[in-house]
Amino acid sequence: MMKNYLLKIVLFGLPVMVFPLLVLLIDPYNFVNAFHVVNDSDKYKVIQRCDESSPRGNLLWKMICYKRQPLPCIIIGDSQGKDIRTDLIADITGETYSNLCVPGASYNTMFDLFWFAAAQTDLKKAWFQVSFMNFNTQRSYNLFCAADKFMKYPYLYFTTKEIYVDAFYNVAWAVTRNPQLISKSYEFLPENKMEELSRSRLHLFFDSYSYPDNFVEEFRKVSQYCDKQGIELNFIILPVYVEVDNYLEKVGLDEERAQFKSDIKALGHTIDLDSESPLKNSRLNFFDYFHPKKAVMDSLTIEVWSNCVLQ
Amino acid sequence: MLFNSFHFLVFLTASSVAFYSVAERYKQLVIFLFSVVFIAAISSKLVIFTLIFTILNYILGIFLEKKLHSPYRLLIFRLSVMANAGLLVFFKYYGFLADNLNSLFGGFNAGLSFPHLNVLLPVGISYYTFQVIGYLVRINRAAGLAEHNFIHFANYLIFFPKFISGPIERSQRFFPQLNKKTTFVPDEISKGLRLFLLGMFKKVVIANNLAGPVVAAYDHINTFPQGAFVFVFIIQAIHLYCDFSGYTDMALGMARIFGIKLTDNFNRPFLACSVSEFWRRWHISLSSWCNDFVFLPFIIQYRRLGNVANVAGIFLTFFIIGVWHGANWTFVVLGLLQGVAISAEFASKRKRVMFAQKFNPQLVVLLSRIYTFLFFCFTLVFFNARNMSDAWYFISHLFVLPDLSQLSTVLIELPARVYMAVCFYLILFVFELYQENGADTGWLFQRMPRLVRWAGYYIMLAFIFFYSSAGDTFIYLKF
Repeated sequence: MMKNYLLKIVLFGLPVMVFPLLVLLIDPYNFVNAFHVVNDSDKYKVIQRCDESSPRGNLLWKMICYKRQPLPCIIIGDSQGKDIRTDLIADITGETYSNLCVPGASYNTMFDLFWFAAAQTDLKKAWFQVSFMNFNTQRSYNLFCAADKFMKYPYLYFTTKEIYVDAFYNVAWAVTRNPQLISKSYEFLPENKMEELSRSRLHLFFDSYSYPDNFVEEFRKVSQYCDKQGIELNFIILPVYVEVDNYLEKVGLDEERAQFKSDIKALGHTIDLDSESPLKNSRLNFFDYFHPKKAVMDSLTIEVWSNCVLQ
Repeated sequence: MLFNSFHFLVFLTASSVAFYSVAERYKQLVIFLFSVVFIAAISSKLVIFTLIFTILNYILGIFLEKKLHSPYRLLIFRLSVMANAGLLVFFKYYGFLADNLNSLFGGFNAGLSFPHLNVLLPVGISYYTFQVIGYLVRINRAAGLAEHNFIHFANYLIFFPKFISGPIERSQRFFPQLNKKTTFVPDEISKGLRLFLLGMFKKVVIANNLAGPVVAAYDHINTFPQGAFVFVFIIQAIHLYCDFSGYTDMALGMARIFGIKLTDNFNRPFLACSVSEFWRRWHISLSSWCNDFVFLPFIIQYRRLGNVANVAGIFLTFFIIGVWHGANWTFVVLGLLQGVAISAEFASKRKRVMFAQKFNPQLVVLLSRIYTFLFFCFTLVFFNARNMSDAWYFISHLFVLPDLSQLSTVLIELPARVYMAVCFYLILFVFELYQENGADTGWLFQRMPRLVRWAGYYIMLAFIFFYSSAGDTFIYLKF
């Protein structure tokens, strides 16, 4: 009787098994890396499909890639730095970098990512792309845990609904090539909506602000570790649209930003690209107020790493 | 380890397979061991606490039974009950009492001050304390014997399906089930699994999706759009019902897999026609416990006072039900409001019946149900609010004429899943209406072709899966 019942349960469970099989076969993050039904560039496009999925997706993707192929040169940062092209850097410097900049990454996420990278290999160069927008005690969430749990408990990869959704989108994108499937992120917003979003982000980042001394303290630990291990530590501050400067002046956060920059500069070699320049004054150079467009990022990348070579 | 987590499903599978794989005499031991593992997954300190609590009460029960004919029986009994109740009061109400006494004595400059202790409330203490008090009362009244099998006694208190949020079981109903032989009955297992699935659906698909606006309203009460308070006022009842009855269904379903039938806590409460009837249908295990161990002994003791004793008994009972939920003045008001409503119903019963006879009975039933539901929603403001001033803010802004444009903006901006949850609840409500009228919807469903039934299960599973979220918890877990 019990055997028949168990058989019935197994029979009932068979359709349910379709889900983990789909994940195994499509493998949206190359977690298993056994099958490559959908190619990697398509998978990466799907990961960015919407603002809710991209932070976790980007982080998981980059962590898996890095774990599989750890490189001694890394760039850690948030959405501002995600478009720093490592192929351009390789052309200029001859060094292969891993870009671990993740949209939505808080400083806590960045610190954990640094320690994660340091645990994988002997680092040689570490670049931190730092921004004032996230340098706020109020923004103390940590995305790292969301991706790290898959490393700690691999079975979650086959039981988490978001992974199924990504697998489903992979199939849908591969079959239909419908651009709507992969363009739900803010970058694809129409102009008027983008302005609205930019203004709302000013409020999101700065309306409730307190200076995060604990982030400075954590950076000191990173800096001490780098000194001890002989890792070259660099910081890069990317430009933001002039409207951000105006807003900071309006809400009286000028001093805090100056403090942020001086604290960062005290920690290591810093390239501050957010000082007054014509680039900051043109709205055309930015997606929203905080994120330089890809062409701008390419020219900045060339400028920064060429100077590094010259030095 | 929440019931709606993947870890728990693995745990439940392992425990049920182990249960049916061992010989009859080891089955209760398996339940005990898995219950200990379940508690250990919450906290290792909690295992130590509950085991000490269980051992002490096991000894107390046997000791009380032995001294049943001794002149010290009453003293032993009272000390046992006071020790258990004292422990509950200490863990649950010490901070609240200390705060209030300090401010009281501070006002008189009495120089008395109670220190603040950072003690954590042991999970499930309100449930197993009430269970053990009920058990001791039965022994004292010689209405039942003490349980001499420690494993059985421990399972009475820490059986994992009911450990964290009840139901509050009665010893006379629970122990006999442990003594009977548990054979593998596929129909019973299927019933258990169906109940578990239904509970999870209620919790994950309905309650969790309604939690967003309810939590937002009470967490940000000053900035929450005033026009939307009316919406929250209604859905908070559905939210709480689906959360707690969802948990209870899951607990009952799991227990059934192990051959144990637990007390159902809910009997279509939103179809009650009066507040007193509502409490016979809502959190039944708590209300019936309070009825048997607080209300009845009280009115028997003071029967010479007639109706005064009844009214005082009602207030005392609902005061206890209110503060059972937690140490906050809002819970005191929650209980007292129920007391006021039930006393008023008690006093006006004859007149109400006479008045109702002038109208269509169906209309009377409908209006009575609406009144009961709205009264419950009103009292839930005190259940959900963090303090009295928040509750007052909610109520005072509830009756402000909503700005329709603001209300429509809020309603449009609500995620579609909130409306989906409301729709699912309405479907559930229709089923409950049919059941109320005598239809056995479960039996009707069972008579459908397997393909239809399984399709139904798959649809429910799909909804549960795609609407699950990592941060889910159960409201009644904190009590």
